[in-house]
Order: sequence, then structure tokens, then C-alpha cells
Amino acid sequence: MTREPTDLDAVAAEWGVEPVLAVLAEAGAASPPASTRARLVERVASSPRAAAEPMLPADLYAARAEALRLLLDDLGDDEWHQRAAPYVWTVHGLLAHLLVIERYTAAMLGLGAMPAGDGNDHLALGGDVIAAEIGSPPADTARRWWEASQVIAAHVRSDRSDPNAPLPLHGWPFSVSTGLVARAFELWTHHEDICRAAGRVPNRAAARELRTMSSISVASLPFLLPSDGKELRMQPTRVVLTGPGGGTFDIGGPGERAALLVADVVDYCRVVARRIEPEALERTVEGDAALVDGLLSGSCAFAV
Amino acid sequence: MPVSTCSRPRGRAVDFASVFATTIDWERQMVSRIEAGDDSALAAVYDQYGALVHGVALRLVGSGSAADICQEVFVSLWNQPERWSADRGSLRTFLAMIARRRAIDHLRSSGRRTANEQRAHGGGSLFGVEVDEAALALISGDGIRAALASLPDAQRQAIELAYFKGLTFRQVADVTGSSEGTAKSRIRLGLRRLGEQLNITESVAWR
Repeated sequence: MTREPTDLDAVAAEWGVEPVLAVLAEAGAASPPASTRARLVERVASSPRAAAEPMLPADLYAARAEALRLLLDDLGDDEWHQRAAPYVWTVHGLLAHLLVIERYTAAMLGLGAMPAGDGNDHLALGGDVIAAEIGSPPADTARRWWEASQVIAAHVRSDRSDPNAPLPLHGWPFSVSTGLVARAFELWTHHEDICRAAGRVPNRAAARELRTMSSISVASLPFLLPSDGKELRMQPTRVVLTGPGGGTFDIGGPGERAALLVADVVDYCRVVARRIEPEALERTVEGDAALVDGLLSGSCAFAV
Repeated sequence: MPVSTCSRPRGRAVDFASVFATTIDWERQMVSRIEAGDDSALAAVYDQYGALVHGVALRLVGSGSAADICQEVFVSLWNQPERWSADRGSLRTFLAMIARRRAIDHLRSSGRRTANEQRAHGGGSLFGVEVDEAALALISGDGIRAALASLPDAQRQAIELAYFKGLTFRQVADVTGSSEGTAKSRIRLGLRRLGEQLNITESVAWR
């Protein structure tokens, strides 16, 4: 069937009379039969909107490492020496910390020696390595970090790696898959930290990357709720993350929805990474606001 | 923002400030949620604009197909929410336009528009009384009815043919015995005058 606008519709915008036509329509509003809504809901339920395809956690980790490498390659001398808030380190020092964490992750995968220090103390781990790296040229630290990340990437993308095998990191009982997502979160977060330190606007992560990070995070929310320390009971909740890479997630089991949270997917990920305080997240909440507050508070439990 | 259901006050003038208080922000958020796959947002948009969309279809195609067209409009929003851009106007206007186009497509495909055109041509009067009354009876706002009635006859008739009957400018010209340019001019002037009388300005619109 040809679909041509009428002459009037075709020129309405040009003439600036669309609002007038809408008012004519508004004034003629007539409620449709009740069955129309039911049929619409049924039809939509049977054709969910396609979301960005999640990535394999190993590919996500590799993609975030590559994104960080590209940023580091572009940094000027001055930018390496800017303070990377919220840390006391400079950009160079932050990257040295990341180098330690790559080596720690590799060690937990059985791929190398464990850095000195307590693995459960994320920031204090490998202090000697950090101190030594800060005394070396940033480009050398960048090269060593990249090499360490590629040892991990090559391993977890190979047939030798079992995505479901345990990969405890900093005391959290991750699997290889979830641990890699946590590490990807860390790379993404420090990518943004470095951009901010350098006065750059970070590029938005790819939709598939955000989808993977956010979906794993949202799925964990019911299990993180008690970590808030409040007596909250998980109830059916819908989380709607908007923007490319977002999606709609129903968590907390079936039943009547107790709460709805709507937020931008990037901002949500920043809450998870502790770069936005949960209470500062721009959001829309319907229903049990205390439950949503608790979920958001728990969402950043993995950020150490 | 709080949004009421689609029930409209009937038989009295529409409170345009209230009508347009449904802001672009709410529409943006709903469409963002629809893009994210939130079917409850689509239901909310339906609750807000379902009567508007159905009313547009009802005027053009009658009760037999209006509900189906109404459903199709919202399914198309679900499938392609990115077709709407707040920069180009409100979601309200967008949905009303889509409803008109779908209804007119329906008329064209069913051949009923031809019949309407013949009816408009036939009879002793330019507009069969029953046709005018049927169209205007569906307009619930006294203010709009009064504004329409206050237009010069030629402008009102041209708008009725182009808007309520979905005729092309050429067809309006044929029916009214004028040139296409004259028909177009009457419609444009009439709509602008209508906008002025109803105080439809950018401040209460949606950009």
C-alpha cells in the first residue's frame, strides 16, 4: 500500500500549523473500546523490542582494554601528570595500579606471580610496583599494562578458559565470566577517570558493552540488597535503563511489581562504579522508593 | 510528571493549558523507556493519547476500523520509537499525524474516500448537512466549535474537507469550485486564524 501524506499533513510543519491540527484532534478525542488496550498489550508482549546483543565477558574485557590503550596512546606529557580523582595518584599512578590489578587477575587465573600485598586490599595491593612504575616513563608503564592485559585477554578467549570456573577477586566469589565483567567495569571506570583528569570528554562506551555491564549488574541486584544493612525484602522490580545499551529488566521474581526504577544506562553504570552517589542518580521511581534506594546502595558493592 | 488517564472533559471547552501541560519531558522519557523495551511506558502513552488517536481515526474511517488503526499506531510506536524526535514536535502531534495517515491509507485502500468525494460533490449543497454535523459532533470542545464556526465560510469549508475528510488540495479545489492555489490559501489562512483564536502559541505548544 502506498503511504503518502495528505497535502495538508505534508505542509503542516512548513506552515507551522501542526499544533492547530493536534488541537483539532485533541478536541475530537474518543476513547477506544476497552478491548483495544488489552489487544495492544498482548501484541506488544509477544514482540519484545530487540536490545543490543550482550558480548561475551572475555570480549568485553578485551574491548575495554583496547579502548583504554587508545586513550593512553593519545595522552600528552602534561596529561599523564594530572591527578586522577578520586585517587591521590596521577594518571600515571592510576595506570600503575591497573598494571598491578592485571597481574593480580592473571595470578588468580594461574597465569603469573601474585603481586605483593593483600589481595583483598584492592588499593594497597602491589604498592612496590606502583612506586617503581611512577619512577619510570609513562609510556613504559603503558606498555607493561597493555602486555599484562593481553595475557589475560588471550587466555580467557582461548579454549583453555572455562567461563564458569571460579575466579575470586578481592574476596568476591566471581566466576571467570562475572570476574571479567567486573574487571571491564574497572577499565571503563578508570578510562573515564583519566579522561576527567585530562579534561577530556569520555567517549560513550559501545551499546553492546554497556548492555553487558548493566545486565550483569542488574541481575546481581537482588543478591546485593542485604549488603545495604537495611531490612529490605526483595520484591518484583522493573529496572529500565535508557539510552543505547540499556534495556528493561524484571528482577525479584514474578508477581505484582512493587517498584520501578528508570535511569540512564551510563549514569547507572557510574553508580555501580561509585562515580555517582546512589542518591545523586537522576532517576524516576514508582512504587517502593525504599526498595529502590536499597537496590542502588547495594549496586556498588563490587566497586572497591 | 503526573499524567492523568485519557479521559477528557466532554461538552465544554478544552483547557488548552492543561492539555499541553503534558510536557515534552514526559514524552521524551516515555519514548526513551519504550526504546529500552518497557511495555508499561507504551501502555502509559496509550492511556494518555489513545483517545486522541482513536478519535482521529474514528472521524475518518468510522467505528468499524478505528480501533484497529488506533492499535496499529501504537504498535508502530513500539516498533519504531526512533521515528519520533522531540525536536520536530510533540509526541501528541506525531501520533495524531500517524493516525491520520493510517486512516487515510485505509480509506484509499478501501475505496471509501472516493465515495466520500462523490458525496461531497453530490447533492445540492457543498457539504451535505449530515456530513458536517457528523464531523463536528465528534469535536467535543465548545471553544473549538466556536472558533471553527467563526471562520469565513470558505475557509471553514476548505479545512473541513482537507482535515476531516482527508481530501487533497486539488480535490478541495474541485469540490469548492476554486483553483488549487485558492483552496490551499484558504486552508492555510483558516488554520492560522484558528490557532490565533484558540491562543495556540509556542508557549503552550511543545517545542
